[in-house]
Amino acid sequence: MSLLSYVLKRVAAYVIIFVAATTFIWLLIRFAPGDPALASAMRVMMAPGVSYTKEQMEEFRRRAIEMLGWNLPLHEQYILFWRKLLAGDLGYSTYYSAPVAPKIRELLVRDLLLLSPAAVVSWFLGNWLGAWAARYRKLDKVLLPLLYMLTSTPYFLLGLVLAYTLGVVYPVFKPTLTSSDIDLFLAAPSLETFKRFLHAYTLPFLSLVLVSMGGWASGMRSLMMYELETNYARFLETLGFSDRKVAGYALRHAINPQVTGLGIQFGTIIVGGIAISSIFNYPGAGIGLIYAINFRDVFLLQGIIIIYIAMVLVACLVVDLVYVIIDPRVRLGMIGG
Amino acid sequence: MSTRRVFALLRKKVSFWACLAVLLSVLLLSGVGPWLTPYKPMQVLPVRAQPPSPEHPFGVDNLGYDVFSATVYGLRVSLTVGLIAAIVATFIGVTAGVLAGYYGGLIDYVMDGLAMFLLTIPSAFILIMIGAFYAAGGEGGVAMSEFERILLLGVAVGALSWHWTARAVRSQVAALKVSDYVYVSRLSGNSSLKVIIKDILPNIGSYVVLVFVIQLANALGTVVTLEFLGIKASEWSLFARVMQWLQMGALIAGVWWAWLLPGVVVVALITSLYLLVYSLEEVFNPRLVRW
Amino acid sequence: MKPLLEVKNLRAYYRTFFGVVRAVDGVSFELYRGEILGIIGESGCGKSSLVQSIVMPKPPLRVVEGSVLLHENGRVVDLTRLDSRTRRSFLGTRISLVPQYVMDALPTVRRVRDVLRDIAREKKLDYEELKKLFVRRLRGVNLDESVLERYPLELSGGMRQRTILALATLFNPDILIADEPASALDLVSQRQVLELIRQLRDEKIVGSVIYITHDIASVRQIADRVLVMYAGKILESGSVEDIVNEPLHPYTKVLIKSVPPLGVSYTERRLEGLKGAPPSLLSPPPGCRFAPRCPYAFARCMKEETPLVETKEGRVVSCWLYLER
Repeated sequence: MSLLSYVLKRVAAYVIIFVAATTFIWLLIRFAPGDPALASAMRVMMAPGVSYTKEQMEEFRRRAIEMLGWNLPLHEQYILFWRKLLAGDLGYSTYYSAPVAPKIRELLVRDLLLLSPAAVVSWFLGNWLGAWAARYRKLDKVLLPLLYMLTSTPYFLLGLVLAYTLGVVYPVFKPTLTSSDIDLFLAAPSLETFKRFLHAYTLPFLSLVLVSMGGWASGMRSLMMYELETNYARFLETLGFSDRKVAGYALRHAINPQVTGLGIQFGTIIVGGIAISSIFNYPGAGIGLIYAINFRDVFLLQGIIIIYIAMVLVACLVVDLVYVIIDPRVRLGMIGG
Repeated sequence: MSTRRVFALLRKKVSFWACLAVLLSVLLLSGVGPWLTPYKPMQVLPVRAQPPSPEHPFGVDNLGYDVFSATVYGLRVSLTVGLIAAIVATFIGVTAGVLAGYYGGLIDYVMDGLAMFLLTIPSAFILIMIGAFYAAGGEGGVAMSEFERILLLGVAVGALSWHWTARAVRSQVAALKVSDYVYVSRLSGNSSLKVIIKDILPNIGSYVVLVFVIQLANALGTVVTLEFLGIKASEWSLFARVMQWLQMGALIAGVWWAWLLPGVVVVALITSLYLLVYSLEEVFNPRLVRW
Repeated sequence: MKPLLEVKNLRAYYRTFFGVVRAVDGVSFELYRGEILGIIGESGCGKSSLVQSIVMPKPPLRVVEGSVLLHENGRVVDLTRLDSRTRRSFLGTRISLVPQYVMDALPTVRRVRDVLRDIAREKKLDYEELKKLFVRRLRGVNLDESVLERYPLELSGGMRQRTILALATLFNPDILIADEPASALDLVSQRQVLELIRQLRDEKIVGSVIYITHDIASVRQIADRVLVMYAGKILESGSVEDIVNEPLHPYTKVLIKSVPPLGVSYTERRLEGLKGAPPSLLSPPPGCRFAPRCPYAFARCMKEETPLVETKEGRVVSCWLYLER
């Protein structure tokens, strides 16, 4: 099996998952009780605040059905859905009163700004901490419960704690953001806008990093402890290697599964981001999702979730490719060595 | 490892007993709590935003609910949903893992595919959709009794989180399958089903217990976060009102007891579950112990 | 002749949750320059623990009594009293270990040359010079330079073992300890490894060899002297011819007889074995450890610790049977 066929296989797997997940979501919405999709489509057509007669509602309903293509046989509806999706049409958002796709693009930039660094930073910090904890076992009694506490804390709870302590009681940072905090910095980076940005960005960032870090650290600790007891570690010791050197080898072995986990963790951090966004009012797709739920904005909800799923799958694919580079076992298995 | 030895080892472990103590206290709280408080979780009191006091040990939130009452009732709901989810996940996971590990082939392939799906797609996404459209307990959703909602949520969470268990059990079973005594068992003419029941299941028993506790801890975390996001099984679910509070500026107003105290209880619960598994692991695998 | 290594009454115990395991319980022997000393014994007799306590005692194994004296240039160093820094300077250079676990002794995600580079860094040497030396060693074990670029996975078991031999003998160690170096390999590779070890000693690439095994046949092929170990104690020692042709201790007798001679079919002579199992080292029996299984045991054996009897020069047996002689 060559490198190319391995890559293609992975891509195919993720495409299948994407199709399956998206189909499932489409089905969920299509057959949801009360036909919320229809209701949304109708709301788009109706002017707010105006009350309509029964006949007019019927007319709207008929037009909505036609617009959504619900008068077509089911499999054609499905194809229509995919055609629209691939063309970039995710419907119309009743909450934002705008087409979904461009709106999501706008929200997503801010999301990525928060989520990606948080995922990466927590990964590095957590692994470093875990490797350290594995070597200095004396601190186990204190460190281990602490790590478990961090990883057991739901993201939103830590968000509340930080927002309260560092945002309200000692107002070092901002507990509630506005979109301009982020946008101004992105549009016109300067010391001023950066300070304002940090003032707003830090708490949500910290909430995500601290909780994720706990998970990475406890996992890495177990992995490192295992690697430090392996036969190769013992052999290197008998060659006269210092503890630090052996730990370096152990880390290199232990990090492999952690790399695999990074792609999956991205999904978890997205969910965490949703919760954090709603607490701090961070203007990303996360909070858009909350609005969508509360406002019964079906197409916004569907759009965000589909895009999020795509993001996770892309992250997983990237991680898979990186993993091939770092683990010779996979490479050699492929070339047949 | 005989049970007697396990207990002998456990007796010395402080961490195990501490965790067990915390766990039992929380369970006690959820079981007995409702009788300790005169207030109902949905009962709106004439006072607002009161810090903890002898009368209201967890205080009153800014909507007029007694927080202690909300906590103990809400704990019941969350724990029930979590337990159902853990049972469902463990059951599906162990079954899938045993079948895939023992029979391999197509079953293994299919299970692997399903597991990969569940691994990459965060369950929250699907649960949000289900919760928003099927069980929101509000306008447009299907009218369900609270019991049905608890059941549905528990089953849904469980059905979307068995992949980790299945993978772990599968590798254990696959390893057991090529062990000598399974080989002998099969040679003596035992049917596959018999081999599975007699030889494999008892040997993964302790492992399944550990796995169940971890699933429970994970499920609780998921359930609590879903409650916050609005996917709740019951109106008085633990953190179901947090969003409302935030919108009302409870944070700025400094009503910390409303979310911190229930939060501490939840974190203590989940942490003690994880630490419990950790100390049990140390007992089952004494190599990890440093003297 | 003064010995190179003197082990005096070495006791090394494991402290476990269930109690103290007396893995090495009063072992004394000497290793002379240029000789190959074989230590034979069955699984669990403490041979690997002996090696570990000499080379690198790590918790839960602790040396509780005794000394391991290394004689060099007139100076004497007690290996049991070394601090970790000095010990590390000895390891790989003066004393080397070839481990039993061939298959995963080399780290999987690193190439051989990376390990060599790290050796150079740890010993503060120039990598290029070291590489030349290593390639010479590789040639000596019938491997070529390409091994450097390989990951361990790309090498067969025999190749890995020989690479490890090359690494372990880089600095011409005074003592090479080979702990069952061939047990994980196929028969042909086993033979190769044995030949190589003997060659290394003959060419003075290594000073002396301690060869640990449970396989008497291999010990016969390369050892000069042999120690027989059982349940943490040395039962008998002597030259390889003496031990094989005239075993004294009852245990040794059964060991030797358990190897079927070539050319004798089983219809002519049955294999003989031992009933029972070695004693638990958590609570070893009083007196001779072998007594419960010994066909010649008498009352004294069960009660008192056996003495060390020297029947002739360099021939020691630890058994009550020989005290009367």
